[in-house]
Amino acid sequence: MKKYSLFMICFFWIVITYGQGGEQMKQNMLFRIDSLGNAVIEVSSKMTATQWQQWENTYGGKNISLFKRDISRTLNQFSLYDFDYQADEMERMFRVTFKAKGVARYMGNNEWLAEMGMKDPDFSKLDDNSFLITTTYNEGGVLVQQNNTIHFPKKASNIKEDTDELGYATFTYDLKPVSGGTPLFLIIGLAFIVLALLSALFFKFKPVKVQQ
Amino acid sequence: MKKYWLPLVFFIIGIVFLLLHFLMSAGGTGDLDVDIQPTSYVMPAAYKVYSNEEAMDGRFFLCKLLLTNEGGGELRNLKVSYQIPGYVEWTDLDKIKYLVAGQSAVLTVYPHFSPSIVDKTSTSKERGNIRIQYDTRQGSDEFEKSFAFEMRGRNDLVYSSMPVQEIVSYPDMFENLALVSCFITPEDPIIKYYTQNIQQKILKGEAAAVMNSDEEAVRFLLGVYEATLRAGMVYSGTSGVPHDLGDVNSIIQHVRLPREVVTGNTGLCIELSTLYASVLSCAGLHPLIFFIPGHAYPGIQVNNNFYAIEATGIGGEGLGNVASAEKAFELGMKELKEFIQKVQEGDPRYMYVDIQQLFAAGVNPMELRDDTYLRQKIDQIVGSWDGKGTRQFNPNVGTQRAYNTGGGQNQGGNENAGGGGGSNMMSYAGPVRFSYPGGWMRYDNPSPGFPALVSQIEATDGTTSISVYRIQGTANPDEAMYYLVQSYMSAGVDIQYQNNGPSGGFSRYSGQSSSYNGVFNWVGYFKPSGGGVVGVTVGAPYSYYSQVQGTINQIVSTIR
Repeated sequence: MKKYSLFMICFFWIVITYGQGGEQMKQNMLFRIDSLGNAVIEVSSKMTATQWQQWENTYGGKNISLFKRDISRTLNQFSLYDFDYQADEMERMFRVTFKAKGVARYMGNNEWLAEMGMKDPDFSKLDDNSFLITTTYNEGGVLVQQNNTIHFPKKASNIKEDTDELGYATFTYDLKPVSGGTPLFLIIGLAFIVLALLSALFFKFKPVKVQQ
Repeated sequence: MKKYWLPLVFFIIGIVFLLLHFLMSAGGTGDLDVDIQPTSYVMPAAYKVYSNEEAMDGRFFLCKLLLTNEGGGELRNLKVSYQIPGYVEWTDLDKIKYLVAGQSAVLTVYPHFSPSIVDKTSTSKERGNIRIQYDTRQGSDEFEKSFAFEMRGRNDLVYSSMPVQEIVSYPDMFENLALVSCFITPEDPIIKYYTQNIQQKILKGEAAAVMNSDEEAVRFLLGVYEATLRAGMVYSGTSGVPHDLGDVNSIIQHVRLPREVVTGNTGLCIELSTLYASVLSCAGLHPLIFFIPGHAYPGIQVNNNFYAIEATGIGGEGLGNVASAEKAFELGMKELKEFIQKVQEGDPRYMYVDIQQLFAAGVNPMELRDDTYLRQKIDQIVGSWDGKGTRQFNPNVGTQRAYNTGGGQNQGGNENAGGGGGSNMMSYAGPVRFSYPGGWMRYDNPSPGFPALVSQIEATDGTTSISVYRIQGTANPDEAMYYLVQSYMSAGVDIQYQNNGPSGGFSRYSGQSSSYNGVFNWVGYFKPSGGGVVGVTVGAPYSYYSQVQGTINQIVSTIR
């Protein structure tokens, strides 16, 4: 299983801010993993004036599709789609959201494995279903701090953090796979049965008109 | 009873829907959908990169598969295999144990080609096959599909994988530049043989890698040039590297291997650069290749200094301009100076590749077999050296013009571009003596909790600072440095440094300190004194370092 490095996401920003005074960069990544092992990923950052100018010149104001192209090539272990970009120019913040297929794998016996690809992670448990992984990189003289928040499905339990043999973050969790049958038929079936009971009661207690 | 016919109908319909639901959920059938995203080409020279999923961010693969279970039931035991007829036999990938209804999995195929793939010299259309065997509740099933791609020749370097209409910038055009290291072949037996001959016959012995000396490294660099010059090697005067955006052909280049350059006795600038890098790497040195628009030239890094040579200075009689090794070195250093200026100006067209770094990152060269005929060719070439060997090769080039990795000239330079400290210098006479620009702010015992820091002197604009230390109880400078690293670590500062050896009675160190406030580059001079070690460091934030290099050098030159 190929490990992707979120460092590469930093890389784009490092490239655009290289030589801008070595300012520290902070970026946030939010993973919302669903019951099928797919995820909605949100990348956001608040920048300094110089960083924002470079961002706008490189991606934001000019050609945000290049960011999609670059991030898709970097996270090539997933299938990314449905990109959305929002910028708050007054606050020098941006947010890119996209969906990723294949983030967690079902291992059988209701157990799932998510390989997050973050090297030498520092884990913090936020609540029963959320973890924070903090990583710091020093690349080209720019210190980059990444805060990666991972939200697991609400029904997931027994979530355990770990690292694999190469030092990358992994999570295992228990979650019963969703049933393949559509719940529509269940709802319609129950609705008809309720309707049958109500109509039966109606006919049973319906007042009978007496002929005068 | 007749009045209950309608509720009864409702009840039966409800039961039918419930049965349908349970039938679909319990006994539904899995339905596999496969989306294959193949590569458009494969470069045989980079076959080791293709097989290494960690190399170059895993960008070089044969194809990517998106498997989705679009049915209502579970799929089990998905066994995915691939084959490239004539190149790779059927090979199994990761086994996917389960794919539940609606679930997706992504698999990337990193093909393991045989080393014999580098025997391929021309381009052809090839086919890849994917086979997926899996189990459903109803039994086993199989999916098989083919896709086409282009297999390039071993000499093809594809500078960019992007479709031309996707290329919007110069770096896009050279996104595969790192793959040039696949053409650098220090382990090639022919190149090893050639290198040994240069060491013996041209240099008459060398110890550049052992001594880690700038002078020896430069002598070696010039020795390689001398070898090509004496052999009558000529420069093939076509464009060495693409220089402009254009069609697909302009971003794919036929690059002869170093052994072919040596035995063919001719090369483009990029080919001469890969030859130099191969020989330098074979000798244990640290080669670099500098790329500028339309041109490339080789260089070397030693003790954080850069040196370059204009390898195409060999020209050729037909071209009418043949430069001596000294002249080629002078030209190379002039180009390097311009290169550094352009990089500092942020010109993205000026790039370099660090071969050692790329090898360490998994961008490794191809395996090449020994060849008796080519060895004989080398012998003939070496014979031609002897014919012109009456001249003793003893290049008279100093290393005073080296350029340091920070981008500015090194400490010995006479052309320092940094902001000068002016002639109004102040003297510092504490544990060590030195002079510093007048007007700078001096603070004695600036941190009472850290008595080892005796004084701190800072430029008024905050770009440069000097720290004076007295570390009691340490026996030698290395121990003192260890103490400082530990002390700063507890304050959240990470220090990386190296000992550059003795210098004027001091041990010289250079390093980098990183913290949340940024990165700080510095040089330090330490020596034992009175039951401890005294020393001074001079440095600047990473991004300013090259600008104030001159000032730092001026201060350092006065340390006593």
